[in-house]
Amino acid sequence: MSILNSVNTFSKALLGVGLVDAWKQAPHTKAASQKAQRLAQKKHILEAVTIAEKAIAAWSSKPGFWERLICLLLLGNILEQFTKQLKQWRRQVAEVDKLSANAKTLLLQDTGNPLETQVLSGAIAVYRHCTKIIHDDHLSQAINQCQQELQRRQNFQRLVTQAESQVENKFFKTAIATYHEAEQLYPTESVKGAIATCETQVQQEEIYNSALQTAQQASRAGRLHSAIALLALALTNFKRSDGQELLQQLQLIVKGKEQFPQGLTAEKAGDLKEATSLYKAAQSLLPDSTECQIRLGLVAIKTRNWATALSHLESIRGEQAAYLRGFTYVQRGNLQQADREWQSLSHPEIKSQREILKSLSQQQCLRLLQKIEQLVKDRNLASAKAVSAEFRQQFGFDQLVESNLNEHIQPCLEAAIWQSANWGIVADKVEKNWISQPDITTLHNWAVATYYRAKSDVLETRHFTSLHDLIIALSTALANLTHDPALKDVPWLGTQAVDLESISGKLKQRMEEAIDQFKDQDVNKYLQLRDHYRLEMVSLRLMSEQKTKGMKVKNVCVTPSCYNRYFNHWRDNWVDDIEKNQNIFRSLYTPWGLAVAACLEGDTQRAIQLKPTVKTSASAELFAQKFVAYHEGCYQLMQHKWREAMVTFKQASLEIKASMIWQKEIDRLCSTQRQVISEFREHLEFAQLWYDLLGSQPARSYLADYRAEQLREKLIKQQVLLEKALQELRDIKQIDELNPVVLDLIERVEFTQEIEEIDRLLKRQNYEDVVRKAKKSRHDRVRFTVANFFIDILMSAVKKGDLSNYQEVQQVGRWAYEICPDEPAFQEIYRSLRLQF
Amino acid sequence: MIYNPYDVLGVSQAASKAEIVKAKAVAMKRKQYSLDIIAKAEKSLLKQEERIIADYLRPILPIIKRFKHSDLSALAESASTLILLAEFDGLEQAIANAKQEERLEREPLPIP
Repeated sequence: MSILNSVNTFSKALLGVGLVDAWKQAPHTKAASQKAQRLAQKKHILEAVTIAEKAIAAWSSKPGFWERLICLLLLGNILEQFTKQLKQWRRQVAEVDKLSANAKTLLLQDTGNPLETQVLSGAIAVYRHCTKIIHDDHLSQAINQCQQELQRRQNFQRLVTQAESQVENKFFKTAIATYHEAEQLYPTESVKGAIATCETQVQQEEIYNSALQTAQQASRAGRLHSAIALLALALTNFKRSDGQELLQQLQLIVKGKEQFPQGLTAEKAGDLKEATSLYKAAQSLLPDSTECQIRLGLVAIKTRNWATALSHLESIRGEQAAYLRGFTYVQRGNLQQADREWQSLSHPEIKSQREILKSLSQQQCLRLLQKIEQLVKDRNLASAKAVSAEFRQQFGFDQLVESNLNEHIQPCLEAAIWQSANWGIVADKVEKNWISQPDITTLHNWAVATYYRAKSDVLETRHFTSLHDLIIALSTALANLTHDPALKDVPWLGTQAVDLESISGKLKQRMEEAIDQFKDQDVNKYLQLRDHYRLEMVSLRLMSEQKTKGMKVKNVCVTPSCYNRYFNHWRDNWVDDIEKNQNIFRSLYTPWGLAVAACLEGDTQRAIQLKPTVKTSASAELFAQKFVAYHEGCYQLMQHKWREAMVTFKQASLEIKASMIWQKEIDRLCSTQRQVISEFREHLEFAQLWYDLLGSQPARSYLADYRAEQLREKLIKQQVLLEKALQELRDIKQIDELNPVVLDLIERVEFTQEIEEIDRLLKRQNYEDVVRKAKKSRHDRVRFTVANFFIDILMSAVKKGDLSNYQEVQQVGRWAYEICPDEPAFQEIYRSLRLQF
Repeated sequence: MIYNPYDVLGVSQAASKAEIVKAKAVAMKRKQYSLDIIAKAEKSLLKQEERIIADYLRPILPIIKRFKHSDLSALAESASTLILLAEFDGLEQAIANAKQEERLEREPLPIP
């Protein structure tokens, strides 16, 4: 017997349960529980019950205390839960059994009547409820069978209903076929009876069908009265809807066909109003109203109602309708459309008609040319332009008309605008030309018009607007001065070159003078004009200095104000001709342009007022924002508002770190700021911020000085231990490696620290350690001080004449020698003690 | 000045100094502009650096070419007229068709 068996037997005897058996059974029970739960989740309840019963049976149904305890230790509460679940599953199985039995009972009540479906539907519902609880193939089969039977009965019912409807409408032969179809499903007595009843009516129906067919043939052949008579007779014996509908239709056609000839008679008699009325009546009655529409079109032509004629003849096929439409178009003056209608007609007379059409077209063409000439003669150029456009629309491109329009009428119109000298109108007109066709010529004209408008508006309320327009227009024109045709081949200059710089300078001067006129009128408006003027001038300067073109539209350079004004007009035509590294120039084209230009011109105070308040994400605007922030910070430093300046600088910290020029300027201003600070704490705070911002040498030195000084104060007041102070000094040294103040303080602290240590050793008379410590010191002063201490003892003994213990004296001298063997001041003593080697 | 000196004096851009001086006298007689404006215009055009500005401040306009006339003699000839072709009216034919249809409508059915 193995040990395990012994343990098992022993535990059975003692505890009532075999420990080894329980230990072996527990994993099986766990697995069975999991498997049963998985099956139950898939509604395989029957299988889950079988597994659960088998697994639970392995354990006692009435366990004792020890068995419960062991079971609890091995399985936790799994067995308890498993037992509960088994009970639940058993309840579900019982419920399904009960429902299934109910369904079967219900099905027993079914009599097999094909018109009855309620029992089958009820049974299917019960079975479906069962399948929601449990998965069982028998249930699925039962549902399937019930559904098949139900479908069959529903088909039968549908066919019977259909046949009944056919009987009601007197389509007995069709009804018999449908009943036979139903009979295939359920050969019931009622179906057979219905077939028999229908068969009695078949003869009558066949007579009717024959009459109906003959009537249809007669109506197609035009024998309408005979068709009506035949149909009426057939319907007296056998009334059916299709015959009645045909009869009604034929009667309407006969009526319509009576109206139409009456219309023809009226038309022939010249009573066109009556004819129209009769044709319209016939049109409403006849299924094919083409003839009525043509006659209505003809009557409209005869009464010269061209639009009405076209509305009647529209989309009618055939030569007659096409000819009439063409004729109507001729009368309306649309000869091209008329020719299009007639070009496919085969009638022999059409050729001569088209010749007349051609002649009429030539006449019409000449009349329009005559009209244009007369309008030009009368100097009614706007109308001449409109008639020229009308000519092009009717007769297509004509060289003479086009050249007259482009080389005479249009230039005369443009010149007339300028001759008016109404600069408001001229400027608005040429600005429209500039917007619709941006090129150097339209730009030049816009600049000239705005120049004279600004001059003439001096006393007008819109003077500010016209000056603003002038700044934009003239600056953009100056940006393109080298290409301006107005300055090419100036006749009175001969071969002398045009001095573009001088022209540019003079025009700028005139703009400035015009702006200055505003100074005494309205300071705010004056400043606004100056802001825009400054932006444009800065742009022109950068364009000139950096040989850059800026933003362009169709090869025309555009200044920032002009760009912002027409951004939406030329949304798809902008060309970015700014180098990627020209951040400042690009920023002028952003909403920050005014502020950036002010900074560039040294007016930071105004830039602060001009900077936009909205947040931005575009890269050019972000740069502009930081550019202005740098200048604002410098401005604040100049005002000695260093706290505000440091906050402002933080906005542009990355850009500042990237620019040596900016760093130098900030260092310069910070050095000046340092001079005006008197408080020690303020120095420290400012030095720290300066160092954090730049980390430049002046900032490092400044911060290290003041932090070292702060520590020195603490040391004097003994507010800090030497060890801690030394650690702090090493940190400060990281800021400025070679700072003399810091290095000196470190030296002093280390000296004091070593001397204190040596003093402690001396007090303990630990002379050997004193000597070792002093020898190791890297400070000469420490070594000298200790050696000197020993020499003093020695000299004191000599002075007192206490040399009784020469060896001790010599030992003291030896210690001094060990520490400072080369100290000149001690050499004589060393020699006297014979310590030199 | 709200007028271009060239326009005030009525001279072309090719005008010589003598022509400008002469034009001043003509302009004064014409009295279209005040004496002050005429004097300023003359002064501008006689100073080279001012005159080039006047050149610049002129609009660039297209050259006006002579209007070309067309031969309109054909208009004097009598114009053709277009009359509705009777064949396309078809009223008589329509009446004849209608009568025939009416006769047909009343025809009895052929005895089978």
